[in-house]
Amino acid sequence: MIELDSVTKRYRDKTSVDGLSLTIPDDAITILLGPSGCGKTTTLKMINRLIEPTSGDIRIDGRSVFAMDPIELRRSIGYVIQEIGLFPHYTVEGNIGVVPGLLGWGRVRIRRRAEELLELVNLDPSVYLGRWPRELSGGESQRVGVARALAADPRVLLMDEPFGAIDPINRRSLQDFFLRLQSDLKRTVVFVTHDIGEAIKLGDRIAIMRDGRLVQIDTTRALLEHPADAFVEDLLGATRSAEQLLLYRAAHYVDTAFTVMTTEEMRRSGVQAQAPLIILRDGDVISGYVEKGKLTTCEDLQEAVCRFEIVSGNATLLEAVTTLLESGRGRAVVQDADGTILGTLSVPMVAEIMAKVAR
Amino acid sequence: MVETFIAGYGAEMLRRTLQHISMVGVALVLAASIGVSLGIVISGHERVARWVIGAASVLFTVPSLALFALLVVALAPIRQGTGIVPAVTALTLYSVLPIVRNTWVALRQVDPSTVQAAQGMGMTSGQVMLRVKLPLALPLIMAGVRNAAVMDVGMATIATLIGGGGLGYFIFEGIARANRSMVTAGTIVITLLGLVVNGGLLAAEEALMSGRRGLREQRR
Amino acid sequence: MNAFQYLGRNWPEVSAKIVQHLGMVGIAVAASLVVGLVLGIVVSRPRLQKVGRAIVGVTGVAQAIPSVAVIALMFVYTGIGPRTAVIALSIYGVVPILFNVSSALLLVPADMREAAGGMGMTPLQVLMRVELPLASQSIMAGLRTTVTIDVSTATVASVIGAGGLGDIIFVGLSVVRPDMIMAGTLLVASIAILSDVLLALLQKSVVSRGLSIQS
Repeated sequence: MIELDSVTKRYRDKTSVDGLSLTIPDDAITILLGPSGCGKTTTLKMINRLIEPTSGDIRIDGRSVFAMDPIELRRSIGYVIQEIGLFPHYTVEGNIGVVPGLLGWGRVRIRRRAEELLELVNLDPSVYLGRWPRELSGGESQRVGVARALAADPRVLLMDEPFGAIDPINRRSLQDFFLRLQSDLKRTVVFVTHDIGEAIKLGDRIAIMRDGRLVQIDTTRALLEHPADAFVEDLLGATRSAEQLLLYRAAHYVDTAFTVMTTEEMRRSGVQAQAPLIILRDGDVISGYVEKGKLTTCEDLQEAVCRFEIVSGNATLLEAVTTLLESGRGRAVVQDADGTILGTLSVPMVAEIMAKVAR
Repeated sequence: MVETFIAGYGAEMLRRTLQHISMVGVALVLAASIGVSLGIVISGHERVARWVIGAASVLFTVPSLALFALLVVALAPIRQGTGIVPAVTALTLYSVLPIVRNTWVALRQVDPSTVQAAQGMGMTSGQVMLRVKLPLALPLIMAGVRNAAVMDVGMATIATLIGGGGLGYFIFEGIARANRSMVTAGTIVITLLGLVVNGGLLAAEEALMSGRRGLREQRR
Repeated sequence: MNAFQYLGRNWPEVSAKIVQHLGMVGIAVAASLVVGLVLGIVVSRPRLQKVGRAIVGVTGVAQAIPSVAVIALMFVYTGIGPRTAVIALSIYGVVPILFNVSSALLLVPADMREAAGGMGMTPLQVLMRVELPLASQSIMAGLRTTVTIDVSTATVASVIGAGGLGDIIFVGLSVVRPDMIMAGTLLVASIAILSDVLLALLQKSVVSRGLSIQS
């Protein structure tokens, strides 16, 4: 957990960050969002002490960063910047191996780690290990940048508008790629952006900043449903149109009122289930769902079982709705990367969400 | 002391300055003609270009005195071993490299889409070169000419040793006669001349550029 | 007698002159390299960047000063002999190196320095592992320029009694002996070309492949 405690950064003619107090939870992506000049990048850079605050404290897992040697601190945190900053005079392998090299790893260990990381970011090691940065496209460069930041296996990742310099089409696939990565690796990510769509798509929590102060920090859904003031409303306002809404992550909007049972269990005791919806899972296979109400009215239990579509937790509402409409099913079951069932979605549900948020 | 120097050597200094400038001037004009033409010719041919530039680089590395002396020996049979001819020849040969190289690089750096646009409008390759490529390459070419000019001013100092005249006289005679003021005077004038030539050509470049704002970034 | 015969007959004296010449150039280049490199690094540090840019301007202009002038000027103060030549060459040789080092280091993109610092490199490591390698192409070019100028100017320095291969050429010119002239010329030219080729090879091995313009 990262705690910022009344952090202030004052320059001669302006106060860039003013008494910011913020808690960044572990294993999740926290977005720092705001207009340019709001202090989000300065805040990020104070976490790894590239900028020293004028006052206040920053603690990682209870330890103040000021009690640590700044160089060692930075070697334990992954740092990705917008301009990518790959060193042109090192190969891809050389770039990934920079921090491990600083930490004294051996060459063999570094190479193995580089291969591992390249596979993680979907770049074939046999092709990319020896490539030079100038031979890479923007998307490839940025993936190497992320791999580089992960090389020494840091718990914390600081990312400063990392996809800002990429064209919109590649940016989307990079965002998707990053989401998948995060669901595998589950790091504590602090992510600065001024792009609201990106914030909504990637963020587990969004901290909205203005003029060096924190305006509101909450989940996307909470921000949309209960904005703290007109500024937040306006900021997210552009995203309230129907198309933008559909960028939101399905995982955040699921109906969580369900129980999981095996088919056998359902037959025996489904009528006594707590939740109104029973999802049937036998072993690894999800075979269907049953609305509890139907159990009493249907003669043949088989009739009650409905088919469904499976949607990944990282998918957007748009993708979930499209899947539902194309398949004609009533519900979609939203599932995490490691198989956990997050909840269900139906088309009427999405319509209701849109109506509520668009007010 | 300065007055006596000027009284004694004033006229001589003026004469030799003019000699110096004319040597450099002639060499520059020759080198520019050869260099730019060569640069244009090789701009389309990668491999030939590398050879030509390689050869010119080798020539460029040879110490100036050696080249002067070489020409003395080489031209002696036709009775041109001393004087202005070997001096100007040597200066020209030296100046070719910076000019050829800059011309070639500048032409290569012209944005291909601009060239294609010109071709698409129906220009012949000659017209493309004359009206599009060369004008765009001009800033870098001029920088090469300027480099060569400054270099020549320095090198022409040595020309005096092979009978070419010029301001080098004051330096070498001054050393031989252990006459400090001669040496100092010669040094100052040559240095000033170098700086003036550099500044003057820079100003000319700027004047040319002010008519074409967008090309400023290309200047080296 | 032709040039090679001359060399054959007078090899002891000639080889002494070669050593003299190389010695002068060697010392001067080493001195210029150290001073130019250190100064160039110092003035390209973030706090001194204004100074750095001024230095780039000054050295840019200073390159317009003919090398012979510097030798002659130094002669006025310290008289004849190889020492004068070495001092003059050292001072003059700093200019191309300083120009190239400072301008190249000033051109290192700020975000690259930031990425390096953000990853946990000490300032020294940033200099050694990022800034200098990125500037290496330019620095080597400056070194080559200095060496070329020094070999050439050392030849002319013979007029102030510095010794070296210029002696052979000058004597040859004054007593009109083509064999001497050719001998001296060939030697000097060979040394110049050889050292440039060696430096070019050094440049190829020092400068990272990832930085070359051609693929």
